[in-house]
Amino acid sequence: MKVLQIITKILTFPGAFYRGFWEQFFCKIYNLPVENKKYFQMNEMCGHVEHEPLSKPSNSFWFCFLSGLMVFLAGVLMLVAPVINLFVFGIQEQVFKVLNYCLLYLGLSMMTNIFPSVEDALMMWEGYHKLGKAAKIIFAPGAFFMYVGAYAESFGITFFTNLICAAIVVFM
Amino acid sequence: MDENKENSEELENTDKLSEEEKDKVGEILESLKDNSDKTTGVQDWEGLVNTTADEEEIIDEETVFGDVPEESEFEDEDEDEEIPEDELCILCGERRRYTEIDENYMYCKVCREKMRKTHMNFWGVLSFIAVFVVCFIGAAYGYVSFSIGGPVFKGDGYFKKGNYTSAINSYVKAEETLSTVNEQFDAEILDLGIKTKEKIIKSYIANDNLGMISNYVDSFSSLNDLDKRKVSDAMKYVDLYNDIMETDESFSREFNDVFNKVYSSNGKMTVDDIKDTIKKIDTMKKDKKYNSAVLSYYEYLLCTMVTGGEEYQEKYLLELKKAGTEYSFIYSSTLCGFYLTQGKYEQAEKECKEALERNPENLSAYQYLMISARRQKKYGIAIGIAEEVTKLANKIYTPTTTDSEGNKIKMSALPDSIPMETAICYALKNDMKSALTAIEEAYSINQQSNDTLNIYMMLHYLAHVDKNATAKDGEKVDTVDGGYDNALYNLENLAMYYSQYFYISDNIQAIMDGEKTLEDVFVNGEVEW
Repeated sequence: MKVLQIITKILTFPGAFYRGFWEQFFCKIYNLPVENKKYFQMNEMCGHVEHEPLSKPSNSFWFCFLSGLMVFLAGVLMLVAPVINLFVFGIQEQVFKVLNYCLLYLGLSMMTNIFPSVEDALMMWEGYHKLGKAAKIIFAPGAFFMYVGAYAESFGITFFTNLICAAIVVFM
Repeated sequence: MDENKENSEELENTDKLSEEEKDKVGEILESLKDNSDKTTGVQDWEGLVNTTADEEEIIDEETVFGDVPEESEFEDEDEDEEIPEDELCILCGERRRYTEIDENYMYCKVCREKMRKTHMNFWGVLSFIAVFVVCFIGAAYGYVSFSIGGPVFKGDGYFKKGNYTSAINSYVKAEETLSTVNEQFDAEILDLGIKTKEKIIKSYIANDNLGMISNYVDSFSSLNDLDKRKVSDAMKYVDLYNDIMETDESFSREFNDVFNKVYSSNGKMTVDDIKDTIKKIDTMKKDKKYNSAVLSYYEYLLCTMVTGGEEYQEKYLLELKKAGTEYSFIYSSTLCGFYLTQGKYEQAEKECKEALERNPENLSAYQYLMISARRQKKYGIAIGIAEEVTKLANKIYTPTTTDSEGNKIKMSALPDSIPMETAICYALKNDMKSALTAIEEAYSINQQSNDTLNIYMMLHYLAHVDKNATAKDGEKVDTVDGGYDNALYNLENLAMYYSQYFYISDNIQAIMDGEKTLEDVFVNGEVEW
């Protein structure tokens, strides 16, 4: 599991660095002590920033959600052109094919890293259960998605799903 | 100078050690010499230093770590108490862990504060800048791609619904946008891609128009096997197109002279005269190298140019139809025209309905239905069909264009032939007012159509020109709105430059001269209109 995660992070290093950046950025925003600012560690925190847990449950949610959202948005911006050009149009011009492949790789490397670390996800999930009824309903889809996604990421599943997406875009 | 003296005296005084102190120093030196207990020696030495040194000499943490909270804040209540190793901060190893927030917490308060102020990771910041730049490029490139993708998606939607004319118009809009983008960048930065071209080809096929795919065929010639599999549907038609072209070339090489001879005979030759040629073509049809359907069409063409060929015409056209709907671009309208000429209106209408089943937006099929109704003197039905077509045309997607003044204009999908056909029907019903209104609409849609110009001229002549009155120079004049004069002037002007396409029809001239009636030409005559 750890090996898969580390391999995934190495293969999608642009996204891993970018994810790490936003996690550290939000640590600053929430004034959280960062225990280790190294993004590439050979453990389950690979691609993430080791930090103290947040005290407020909603903050824990927003920390995971916002850092993931920033990575997701970057991924979307990068993927629009290659998806249209490769998947919809099926362009043949070699130079633009290469440019689109680069954007596709970068976009999917972002998408592979949209989920929080398992540690953060557990904290967020724990915090989610402490929320009020209304807040629970509002945050439910996001919290569940991130919780499941964090585990999926730790098993390298996100990497394989994105690999499948890439294959569809390129070969279909 | 005095200050120096005073200082040296002070040094001498401090250098004098008491007996007790001297003994202690001696013991320490001995222990250092012995080298067996270094640690104790050093500790003792440090202790000695601490007893003599000024407090100012102790390094202040604040100068090292910056803005750190005052030491006293975090110091243990009892400084003298020795901290067990497992309670020490794992980072500094000096202070007690800050277990108040978490009993397993590994760091002390000072280190915790320092961790809050950790600088951003260099690689993280670099990745942020790089991703920002890539996002900007990606967004710009995505926007341009989407501006072309928009009409393509729209076309796909129409294609799925079976509205092939709208789909083609949408794809044409995408092509126009693409060329505008490439012009702006002065380079071919984007391409429609083979998948879009496949959709365009399929739309043209569904619209009975295989001939229109010629512009896209080249893109498929150099594809690799994987890409060919991706667009297998299009490849089928591209291969067919190439096959047709090769057969056409071979036929021209082989039979060009015969074909020209038959054409120039103006119907003086008979079927018997071309029997040998037909036999040769039949032999050619058996060779798999050639497209037999196209050869059937050439046999049909030869039969149309000779006397007594009518019975063979239908046979060859049906052979062509049997070859598959992909040949509908040749046989559909030809069969309709053939049946109309033969007076086989039911069969003609059947052909039209089949074409409409393939593409409900096939407006030419509606036009043939109108002609069929008109030739059966069912003018009311023909006009009814025209109204239906007008409604349908309004639903067909057409892209907006800009005129010379920069105003946006929505082009109508209605071809000029439909209101022109309506005008003929009204004229046959002797309703010249409605006929003129209809032909005015046709003329506003297309002012450079030979058919429309001829009918426009004729109707204005019949309605407005006094046949007995002549102008000073002997020319007839439309005294009401000058419609006849204008149309005649336009037609003559265009005929000067494009004599092949623009001319005054003999039948129209005959009607204007009073030699033929409207019914003679439009109901009983050859299917020219």
